[in-house]
Amino acid sequence: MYKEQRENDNQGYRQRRFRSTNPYVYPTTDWQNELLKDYTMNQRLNFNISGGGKVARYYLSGGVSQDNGILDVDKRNDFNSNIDLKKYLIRSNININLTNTTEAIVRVHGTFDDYRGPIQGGTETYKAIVRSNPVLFPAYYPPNETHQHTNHILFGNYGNGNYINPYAEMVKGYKEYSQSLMLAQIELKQDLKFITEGLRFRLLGNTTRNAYFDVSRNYNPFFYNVSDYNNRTDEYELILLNSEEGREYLDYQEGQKAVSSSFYAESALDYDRTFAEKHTVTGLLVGIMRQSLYGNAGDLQRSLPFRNLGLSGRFTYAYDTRYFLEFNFGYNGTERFSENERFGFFPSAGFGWLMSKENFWQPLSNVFTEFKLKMTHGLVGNDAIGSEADRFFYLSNINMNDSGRGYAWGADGGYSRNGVSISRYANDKITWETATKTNIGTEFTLFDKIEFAVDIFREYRTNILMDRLSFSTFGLQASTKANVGEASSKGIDMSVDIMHSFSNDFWVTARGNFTYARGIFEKYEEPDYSATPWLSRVGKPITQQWGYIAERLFVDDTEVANSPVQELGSITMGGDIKYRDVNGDDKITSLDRVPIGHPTTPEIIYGFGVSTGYKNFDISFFFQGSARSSFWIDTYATSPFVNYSWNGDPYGNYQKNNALLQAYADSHWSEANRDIYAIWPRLSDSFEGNNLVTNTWFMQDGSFLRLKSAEMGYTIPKRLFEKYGVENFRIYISGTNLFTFSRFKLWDPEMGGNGLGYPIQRVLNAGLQVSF
Amino acid sequence: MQVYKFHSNKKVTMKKKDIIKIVTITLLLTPGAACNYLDVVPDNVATIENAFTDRYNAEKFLATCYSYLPEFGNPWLNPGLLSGDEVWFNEEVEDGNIETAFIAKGYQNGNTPHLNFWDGLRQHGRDINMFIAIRDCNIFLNEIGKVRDLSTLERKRWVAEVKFLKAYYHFWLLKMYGPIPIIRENLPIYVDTENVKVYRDPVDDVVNYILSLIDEVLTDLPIQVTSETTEMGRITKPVAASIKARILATAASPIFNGNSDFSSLTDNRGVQLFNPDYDITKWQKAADAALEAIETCEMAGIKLYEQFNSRYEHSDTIMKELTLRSIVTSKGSPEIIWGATNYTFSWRYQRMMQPLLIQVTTANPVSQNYGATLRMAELFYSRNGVPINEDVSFDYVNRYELRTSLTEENDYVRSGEQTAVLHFDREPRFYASIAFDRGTYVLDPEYYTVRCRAGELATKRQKGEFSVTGYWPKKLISPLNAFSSNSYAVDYEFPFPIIRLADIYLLYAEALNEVKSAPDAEVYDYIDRIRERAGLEGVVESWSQHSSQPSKPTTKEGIREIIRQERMIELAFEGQRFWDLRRWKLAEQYMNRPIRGWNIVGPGLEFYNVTTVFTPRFEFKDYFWPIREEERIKNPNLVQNLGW
Repeated sequence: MYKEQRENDNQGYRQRRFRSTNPYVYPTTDWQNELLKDYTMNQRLNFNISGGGKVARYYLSGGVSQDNGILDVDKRNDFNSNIDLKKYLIRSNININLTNTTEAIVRVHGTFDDYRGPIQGGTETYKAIVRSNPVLFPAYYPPNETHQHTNHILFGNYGNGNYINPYAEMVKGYKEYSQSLMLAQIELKQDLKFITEGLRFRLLGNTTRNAYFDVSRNYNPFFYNVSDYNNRTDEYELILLNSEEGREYLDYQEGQKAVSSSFYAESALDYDRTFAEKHTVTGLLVGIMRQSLYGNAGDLQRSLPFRNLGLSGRFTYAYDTRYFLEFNFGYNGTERFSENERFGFFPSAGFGWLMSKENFWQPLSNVFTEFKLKMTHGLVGNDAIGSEADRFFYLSNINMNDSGRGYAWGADGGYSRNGVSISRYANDKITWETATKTNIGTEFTLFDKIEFAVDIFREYRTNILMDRLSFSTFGLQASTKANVGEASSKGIDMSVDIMHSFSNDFWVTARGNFTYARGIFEKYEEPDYSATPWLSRVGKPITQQWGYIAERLFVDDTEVANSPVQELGSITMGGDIKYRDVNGDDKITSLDRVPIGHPTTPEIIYGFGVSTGYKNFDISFFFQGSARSSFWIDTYATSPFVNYSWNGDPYGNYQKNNALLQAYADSHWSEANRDIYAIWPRLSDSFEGNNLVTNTWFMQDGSFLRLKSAEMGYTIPKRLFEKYGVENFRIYISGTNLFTFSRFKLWDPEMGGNGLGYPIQRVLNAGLQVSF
Repeated sequence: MQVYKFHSNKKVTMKKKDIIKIVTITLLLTPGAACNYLDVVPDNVATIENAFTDRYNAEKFLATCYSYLPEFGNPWLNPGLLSGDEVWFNEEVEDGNIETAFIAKGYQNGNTPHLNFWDGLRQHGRDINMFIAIRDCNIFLNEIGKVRDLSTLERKRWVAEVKFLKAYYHFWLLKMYGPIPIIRENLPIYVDTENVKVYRDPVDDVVNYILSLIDEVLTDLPIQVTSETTEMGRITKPVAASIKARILATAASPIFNGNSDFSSLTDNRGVQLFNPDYDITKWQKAADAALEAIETCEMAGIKLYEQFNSRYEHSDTIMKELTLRSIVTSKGSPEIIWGATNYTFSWRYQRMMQPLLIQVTTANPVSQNYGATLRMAELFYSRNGVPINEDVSFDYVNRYELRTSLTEENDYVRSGEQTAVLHFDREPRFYASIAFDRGTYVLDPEYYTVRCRAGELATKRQKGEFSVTGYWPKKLISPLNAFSSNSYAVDYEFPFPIIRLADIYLLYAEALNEVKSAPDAEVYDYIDRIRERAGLEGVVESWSQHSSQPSKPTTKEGIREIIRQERMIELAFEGQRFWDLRRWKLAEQYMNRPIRGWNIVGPGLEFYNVTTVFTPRFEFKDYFWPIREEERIKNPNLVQNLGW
């Protein structure tokens, strides 16, 4: 098929006749088989102890886990670069009663990871496998006569030695990292009933420290390829492709060292009192202070501490536990905005009515054991807007030493200066994003067994940060932003819980939930689309996608010549996708893009599960699903044979060829088989812009239903082990991601568009629980 | 469990008081700390004013203004190199994603235009467009007054350089798009959206604005740089004068002067953007500017490169060839007026032009994929200095037939070898500019023979490493480059020439010819200087003795054709032909003819069958770049170029 796509490009290539006699000269390497095992084993161990008395109580827990990878390592290497991850966890909580009204709690918690594995990690190794060329070279060559005494493995490669050889990448070295996370927290609770009854005070402070470092050691593989293959004697010579870069001894690279610390303090005053048995009043005032610091942020602005300061309160009044009134407020500040915009005030109020406690409800109380109506309305603020790099909108961000914007003068470029570039223009009007939320709901219980909760909500969000329209003639180096966007959303949220025991030995619980939410833009910063209203984002869902309507594939080149001109970044030929000319101007341009499909975030999410137990057995399972979403097959990531990289790709500079999905191999357009409804259009070894734009051809229904978890257990009867002091002994097997039902059959829809990404895993556990 | 006993009630009471104190203080402190707690930004964060606090930082901004110059030496980014019909890459190079090649094939489109200097192409990993360049130049001009430790003289010089660069960036856009919005001053950043929607200004206005900027600063520029080591590449008076001549010649050329094809291009205000009237004074201005440029260059010591010096013995023909190859590639060539010192023709690109000439045991040290086209091979003159289809002694009809080389022809074609008739009896510039099968290739002091028939040395070894036409440009390979064991070394990564003296001579001759009714000695003078350096006789003698059209140099149309061909020969592979064909409105004629080369896969002598490599497509609309659709949706005041 690699050969076939060359012909399609119509540039007159001669054919290579493959006579697959010598597997090293004409290799067909199945990289996945060479590198990966089929399964692996992991171990986990947890324990916890608790106890104490009137003055002090303690809780101690710990855990160890061992995860192994599925990489198949070469025996010839001295070191093992398969993944080996050990995790240790320890937690200790101590509660002390300092006086009979004061309690102090100290919590200390730490997790520690030790890892050893391939340089790029398991996910990247997998991604390398799916982008390596299977026919240009084998993983390695066995030593031939000239290389009998060569010390190093003769890895295969092509060209200048910059194709990915995933076997070499996996085996050439290893990385070790160590990560620790420590948290210490102290909490003080003081009962202030000597001031007034029902008043309590709480003070809490914690700090978290995070540290990570890694080290890599690797040698640089020597790459070889075949030359001078003598057909008759079946002998070939090997030429060395990268004599300058290859290196037999291990090199050492210090990797990233990341340190961060955070601090959080909270003080709360809490009041809770019932007067005359009917009036319940509560009040709560909470002040928080929070800070995060990163040790290797990368630039001055990102290294400054992240801080929040806030005061919130809640006041409630309840009458006879039937009528409830609530009032909240939040007064929050953040360091991101300019002084005038720093603080935001966000109040809200709510009302509830427990109807089932009314006198008139009595006749219904057999059926509706509980019935409650509630309503809330209020404001919420959001300061997590913009990207991480845009921390301080009111400052401009200038790079005074940009080597990419400098110039060298002089006959040898001897006099050079770095340049100045701007990555953000200052805007001191940027402020909090505010949302007004209204919520009406009801909770009721039927027959004292089935609990329902239904909520209908509506939200209107203003001051959404958006990029202002950018005009190339303006000459700005960065986009400017303003709080000009507005969006609204509405939806319904329902959940149900059922608990029932048929007898002492037989019980059943079930639960389910369902959420539907739809958010649309009310105001959006966009050009004047009155002539082309289908391009406007106003009134459409927030994650709605725009694309071209694909009708079918072109039959051949003559049809292309007789149809509207499609100039979407590549030359259109027979076998490419034919689009519909929406605005009738006889050209397919960006004006023919219409909203297609459902939004990419699902509008409906639901789940349900059942647990049941009979005597000593118990079974439970839980399904999860979503609906009304669309996703697009990532045509860039899955284009067969093309050299695909993304931002931050560790293999960005290598020559790569994307692997060919079986679905595409079975159904694609070709000169021999002009299937105009095939899944994949014309093959090519470069990105065919025409077929890669967002369109309906690669649009898929993203709804699915997944058996998320299932567990089956057996509790061994007490009498068997009581004498050993064991309280409880249970063995179980469980699994996650066991089955998925969806309309999209090619791969797991939650992987999104990239069928060649790291696959979602199905996990099966077996274990036992013992408590003393 | 042992419990720690508290001592007495008294302590408990005190504890209560302490607790009250703690609570009050905490609640009071919180708002007090608030004001300063969130003020994390220190006072000295870098802003744009920091760039103009002192000379050192201002010089960095000067470098920034220079950095937006197009990458002249990069075939991926300079349309002059790869978007015309001089050079063709094979299809395997970089998986075919070369924007300049797309333009050559005729794949330009309005949705995502290739080589988009209007909206930004991905240079250095960031979108850079010419308007960003102009904005930065304006910022420099506004703020440079604030630098304290800059002497008046130097300030004047820097201001002059940046004004010139601003004019040059406008000119680059003019060449590509035709009428463009003139950016005289920067609009403030938070201005109303309506004011940002600029209009395209008519071509004549743009040209006048560009020239006004250059005229302002001509006197402030130095005649020469103070030191070649530190300042080569800076704008000097010869540079400004030469570019001024080029701009005026472009404005006087058929594409902008009297071009009625574009008279219908009007924007939504009704302003006509192309002036359909022919104005001969434009040529006069061009001639004047060219003469002034020549005089300025002479004052600065710029002259034609005359002699290559070698430590080894060579025949006169070889010395002539090596001289011609050293005009652009040698260090310190006195002919280069302006070179792009930051965008040099580096080892990476030089090795693309070099055919493999030695046996190697490892991977190929040269990538040899820069293929010159057959059309270029046929462009050069015969040995007598006239076009091969006019030379009475040249066997034009049988030029693709084979001929065996004689011993005395060894300097050019390896003796005893067979190659096409086309490769014999040609002018020295042909042998200096083009490498062909069985031709002699000198890398001082070694004499090699190019062998590129199927299966031979200079053919494909790994993916993409071959010339698809069987020719290579030899002109940009210095005679001092060398092969050694398994590697290839370049002598000098030369700054790619933006303009050199020969260019100005030919512009002067061209402009003068257009102004006069019939050519005379003045017109012939500068053409003949170029021809003399190329080892040929003067125009009039050569034509009268050897051409089938002996009176061609006596007519205006005849000399016009001669000057055009002379120009395309002299400046071959330097990125000029692409623009010249467009300004003469000849691109439609040339860019629709097939790109041809030899049969590189035919075994043995089957090599010498002319094959078509690609048939490009050039339509009327391709004379100018399209403005991206998205930009026009945002700003409907920008009318799209005709045909897009």
